[in-house]
Amino acid sequence: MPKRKHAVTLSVGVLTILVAAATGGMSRGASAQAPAARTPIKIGVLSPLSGPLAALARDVVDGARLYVDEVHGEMAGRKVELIVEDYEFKAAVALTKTKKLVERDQVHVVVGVILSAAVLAMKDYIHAHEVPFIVSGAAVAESITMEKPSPYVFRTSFSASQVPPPLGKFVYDKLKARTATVIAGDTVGTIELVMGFARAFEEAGGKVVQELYPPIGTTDFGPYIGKIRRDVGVVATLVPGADGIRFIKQYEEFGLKGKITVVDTAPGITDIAVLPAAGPSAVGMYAANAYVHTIKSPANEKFVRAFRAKTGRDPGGPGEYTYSALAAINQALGATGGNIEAKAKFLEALRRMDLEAPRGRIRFDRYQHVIQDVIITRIDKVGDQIVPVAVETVRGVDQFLGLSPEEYLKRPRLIALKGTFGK
Amino acid sequence: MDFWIVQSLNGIAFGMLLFLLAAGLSLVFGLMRIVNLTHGSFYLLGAYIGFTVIGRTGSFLLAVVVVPLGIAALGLVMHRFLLRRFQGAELSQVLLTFGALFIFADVSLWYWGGYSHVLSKPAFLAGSLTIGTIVFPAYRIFVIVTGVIIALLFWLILERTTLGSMIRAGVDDEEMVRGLGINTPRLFTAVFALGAFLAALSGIIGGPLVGAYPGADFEVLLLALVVVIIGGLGSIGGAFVGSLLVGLIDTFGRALVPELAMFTIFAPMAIILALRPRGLFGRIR
Repeated sequence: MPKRKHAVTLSVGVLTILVAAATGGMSRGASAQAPAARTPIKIGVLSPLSGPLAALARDVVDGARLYVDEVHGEMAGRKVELIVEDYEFKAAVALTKTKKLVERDQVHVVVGVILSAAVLAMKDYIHAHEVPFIVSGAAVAESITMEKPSPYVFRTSFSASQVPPPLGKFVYDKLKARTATVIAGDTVGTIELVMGFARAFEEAGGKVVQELYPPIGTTDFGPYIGKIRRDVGVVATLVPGADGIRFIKQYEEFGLKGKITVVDTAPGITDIAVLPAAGPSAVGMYAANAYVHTIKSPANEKFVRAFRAKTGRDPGGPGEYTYSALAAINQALGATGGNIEAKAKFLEALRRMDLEAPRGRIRFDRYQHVIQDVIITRIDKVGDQIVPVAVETVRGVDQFLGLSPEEYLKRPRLIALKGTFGK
Repeated sequence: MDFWIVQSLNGIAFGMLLFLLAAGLSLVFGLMRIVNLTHGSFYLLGAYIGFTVIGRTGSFLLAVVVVPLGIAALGLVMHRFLLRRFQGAELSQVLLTFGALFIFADVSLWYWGGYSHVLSKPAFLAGSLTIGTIVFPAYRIFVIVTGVIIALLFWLILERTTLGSMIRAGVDDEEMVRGLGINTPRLFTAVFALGAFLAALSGIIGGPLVGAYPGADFEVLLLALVVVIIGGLGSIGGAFVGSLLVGLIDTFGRALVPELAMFTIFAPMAIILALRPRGLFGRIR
């Protein structure tokens, strides 16, 4: 008798497993061929909502939500669903959350991500699983859209090879600085930003005499500020988020504000999401931006008004980059009749993005990175508000700085330049 | 020359902050033989609640006085109703404090969100002091002065009061103290509450420098443990010397050998563990 019971249990078990596998497989296959009009489009939004860049992370999510509100929750006749995940500013968690979004939530496309190291961790998985991914938080390491470019990875934010160089030239030509100290958080994205500045500054004729890299999460910048050479012409920084707030406040406390100008090689401290917390300590800084909320255009003024109405805040860069990313997805869906499941056609349409974004007209280059203007701002006190004021705009800058990709790729990578200055 | 003076002052200020963080932990371990892992939470809650109090009332002074008392009450309740029932089972107590650490971390994340908050300094301490060619933040001087005062107060309490002698006796030989008729459970609760008070105080004093953010509890706990290991468990003098040492080594390490910045706090700890495991002034056998 026990032997027979055994056999029955075993066969029931095996049958159950087979049925589960079959239906599981069927439902996956089914969704690949489901009538496009029926199932919602799922967009994964990955953002570091807890951690030092939480203020910027908030903008990423709000930018996405704003766009979905404006299109009344529908793109090309299909409902749109946003699935927001927090990767805690850690690359490993970003990969885990990506897997969750792709395998459990079955998202059609992923947007967001501010940390370059996170994108670098996700890239192989994204490529292997063929998930369209628009980097729209920041994640500015040049290699993301330069080395081993993946047809699935796009970027609507900016890159380290694109935004800091015009500032390097500006600092030499207009601010007349001849020597510079660079200080950046010790992670690939921020390092590359100051390296992009350093290379352009030296090409213009300047000399970078010091490099300082406090670890992310540094609370006491005293040792680093104490090291800055007091005879240097400018301090070029990318100390991100909450670290940056502490840095610029301590910079003032150690008496350097007003003595040595600080320039943000990209919106670290000077992004409007972070600037109010930095407060008066940031007045007098210059910054290089891909987006500022004070751009005077009908598209931008409309966007800023809507963002303010929805959140009570002014939009910073990551808010606009993500808003544009969703607009790009919508544009691509419009061109493919809403059929996001036909991946090849969808990617093709995405590559042809041509948008009148709040920051201006944006298109992708051959490597799927955005071509855009670079705006140099100065942080001024206007009344009792701390605002970025545009002082110069450089039009149509791409990630290869006007060179052909082949020419640019012959030069050493920005990350390889770390530690080579000031010797 | 300026460089050396500024960095030394930086190191001493950081050291005093570490002392405020570590003193409570050292005392609790010395007396109760448990590593109170909730120490980090007491810091974080002190900093967060201080941030809210300063935000609502604008008064740093109010925060410094009221918040540590509130957290001390929390510590008292936690010990009396949660930990005391496991008297004698040290491992269970440590596990409980570890669990509390996680619970408080999540509650803080839920209430205050994922942002980094830097507490505002009182206006009269927000400026800088200029001595000759050196400009140094006034607040850091305040931290140094506060650390020294607290250290002196501690020394006075431990050496000159009955409570102090009970604590010192308890650190040396708890069984004998019980044998003398002293109510050790109540003593432990009092000391636990004192540890919580100090941790919360360091949260507010350190708030303008370190800030309050998710993860600060673990980071502060780690720093406090390192100082306590170096200085020796159960010794306030050890905590003082250990924290100064760590503060100076870390500051000069970052300034002179920045590539090793992540290592500078742990190197002294590793050396002490290898050469003198009980710590510089440790009294625990």
